[in-house]
Amino acid sequence: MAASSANAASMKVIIFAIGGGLMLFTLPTFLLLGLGMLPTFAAMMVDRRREKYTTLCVGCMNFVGVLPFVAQLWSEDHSYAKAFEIMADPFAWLSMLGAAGLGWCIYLLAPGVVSMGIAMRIEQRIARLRRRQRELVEEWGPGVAGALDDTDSQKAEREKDRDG
Amino acid sequence: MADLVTLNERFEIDPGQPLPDFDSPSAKAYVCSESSKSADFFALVGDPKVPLRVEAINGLKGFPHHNLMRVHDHGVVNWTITGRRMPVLILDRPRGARLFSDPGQIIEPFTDEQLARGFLTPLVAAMREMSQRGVTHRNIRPDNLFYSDVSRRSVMLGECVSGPPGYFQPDNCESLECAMADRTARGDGGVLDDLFSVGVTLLSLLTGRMLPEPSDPQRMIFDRINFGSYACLIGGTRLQMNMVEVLRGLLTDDSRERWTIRDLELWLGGRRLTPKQVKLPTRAARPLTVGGGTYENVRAVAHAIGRNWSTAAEMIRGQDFDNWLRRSLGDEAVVEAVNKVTGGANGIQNAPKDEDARLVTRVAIGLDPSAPIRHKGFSCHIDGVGPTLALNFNDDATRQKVAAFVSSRSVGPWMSVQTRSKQDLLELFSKFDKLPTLMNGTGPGYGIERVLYELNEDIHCMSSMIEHLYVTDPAEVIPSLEAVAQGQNRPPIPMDRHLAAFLGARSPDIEDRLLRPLGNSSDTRPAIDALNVIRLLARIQTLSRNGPMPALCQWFVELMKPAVNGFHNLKARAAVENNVMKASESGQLAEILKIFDDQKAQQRDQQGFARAQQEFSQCAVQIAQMNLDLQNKDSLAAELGEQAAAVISGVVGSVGTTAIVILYLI
Repeated sequence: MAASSANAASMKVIIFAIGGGLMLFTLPTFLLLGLGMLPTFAAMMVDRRREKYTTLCVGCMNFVGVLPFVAQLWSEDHSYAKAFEIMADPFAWLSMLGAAGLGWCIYLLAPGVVSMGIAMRIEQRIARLRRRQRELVEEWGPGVAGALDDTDSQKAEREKDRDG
Repeated sequence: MADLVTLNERFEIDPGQPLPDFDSPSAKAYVCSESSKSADFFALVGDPKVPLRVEAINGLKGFPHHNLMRVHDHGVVNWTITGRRMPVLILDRPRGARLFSDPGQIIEPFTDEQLARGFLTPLVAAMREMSQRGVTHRNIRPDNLFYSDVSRRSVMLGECVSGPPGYFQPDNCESLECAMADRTARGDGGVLDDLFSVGVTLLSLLTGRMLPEPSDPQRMIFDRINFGSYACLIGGTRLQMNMVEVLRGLLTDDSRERWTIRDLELWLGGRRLTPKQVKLPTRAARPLTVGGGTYENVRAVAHAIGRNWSTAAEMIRGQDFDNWLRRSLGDEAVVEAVNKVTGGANGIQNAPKDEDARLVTRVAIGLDPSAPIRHKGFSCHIDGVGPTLALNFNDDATRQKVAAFVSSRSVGPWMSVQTRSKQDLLELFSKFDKLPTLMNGTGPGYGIERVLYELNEDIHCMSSMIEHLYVTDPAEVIPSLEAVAQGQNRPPIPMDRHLAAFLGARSPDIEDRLLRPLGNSSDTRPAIDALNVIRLLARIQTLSRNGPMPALCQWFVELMKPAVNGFHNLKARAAVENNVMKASESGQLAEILKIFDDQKAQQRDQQGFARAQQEFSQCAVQIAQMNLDLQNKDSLAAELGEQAAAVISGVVGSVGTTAIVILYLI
């Protein structure tokens, strides 16, 4: 027990050491990422769900908006000056925040679209079931509705009339 | 002149020309002629309520003598006067008139010569012929005699077939055994009963007047038992010695002593013997008190027990009766007969209290085996039970009496003490043996109606639907129902208890399996009653080859509508309707039956319907669930939408990242 907790602690130390080392060597990148990914951090703050769908949505899109500038930093001059230059470019902010906004849009619009899809699918199935009921009434007469509330059979009859 | 009524395309009857002189008590006489012959006939139009003696009519077919009013034909005609079908007999028309046109009429007394040549000689010839044919007349009385010629030299017997045997006979004209029975239940009797009637008729011809009806018939019966019928009937009448012999011979109550046809023939041939003294019944050493009266001989006691049946059981169980029977009476044959039918003193004592009536009946049978069977006040010869029921079927009391008699199973004990053994009695016994079972059935085709038709093989069906059509043969039932179907006042269904019982009794091909369902109330299928009826009638139609009956079929089409509607499958129902219409047009009930008798099709329909109902309800449940889902779609969509948004973002992000990386690497 004591051994396993010691292993976990040492593993954390190793990871932090490696992360810290990497950060030391890639500080401009982290600066750019830290500032560019601010919408994601904001989304993470407001996302109360365990699954973190908001964070995922905004984060993915935000990352796509930040990545070109990180690549530019790496490919041109990995320095603070270049990082600040990028940060001073409004187009860069438009890209990064716009991408995050797109993530928000996807997150907000998707349930409505899904709702419409679900409604369409259910209505199609209901129509199919009513058509079957109508066929049964046509074949066996209204008595087939048996002890059920007559409204179903009547509705089926009405739909039949409406369908002509 | 009213329209002539034709019988069997041979005889023409004129309803406008009645012949009241030839009326019978239950039938009216009308002028009748045969188109091809000039012989004298007249028609007797019978009362439908009074059963004809069809067996006797058939037995007397081709009767050679003119000394009896012969039946030349009989049948049923549409009688315009009553507006219904009536039974008709075509008979010889006597050349002369009736001897006694009314009971009070006084005629010139017959001389010995007239009696011998004009009355007894033709009568004996007729009786000899009837005896050989096994038919009794049972209607011989002074007012049923006619002069057979205009010169009034010869007398002929009137008809004997328009009513049950002995039904129209005054008590005086009946032998004691028959007179003790109820008027309707006197039975066919035998030639000796006819010879007794001849004796009484002879006496009336000798005196020129009919014997008066006794004011107290039961008193007269007891007098005849105690003093002999001869003494009671002759009374103070002065008779010539030669007539005393024949009258004593004919009017003796002991059937073994009574003159036979042979004796009468010998007397007519000139044999003269010293008149025998009439043998009176043996008197017991002391009288027995029954119902407040005292009786000295066994026959009087038996008759008194029968008449006082409700109180007699107590007396029979008492020691006094046993002492009287075994000591005072002194007739071992009687004791043996009583022991045989009751099981002896122990049998009497051990008989259950609720079977008192049966005990009384059996004791009366044992005391006087040749007398009628007496049960609960009903006194009958077994072949008279049927006519009793036929004549008074609508009378509750009669139905109860006959039902009680049948249930008492008294015929077996009665048969066991009979000295004579006739084939027809054995047949009747076997019939009575199965009657309680048939009578105890509650449904149509059984009950007292079935007893009626089992015991009366020739009466018409008394169903209120077709009674007016006088149907006597099952083959006529379907055409009669066709006529009913064409009429305005159709009953609810072409079947009732009478019709079912009539068909069950008359048609050997109608088995219990066709009759039993008629009263089965446990089967609740739609139109099941009509289906059971059509099954029975279709069988009759097929057996009788009646031909098409479209109106009856149409009637059944209407009755079977609930069964058609019982088909749930609308296509199958339409097909059945179509088939039923086609079958109806064919006029064959069997065709309609075939459609509804297909139980497999009905089962298929039922099973299919049950499946359809189940499927319909499953659909309804699913629809309800989906409507619920529709109402909750937003909450579902929120969960799914976030997932979808995450997936979309992830995919777009992955694709974008990959694209950017590739762009910068190239």
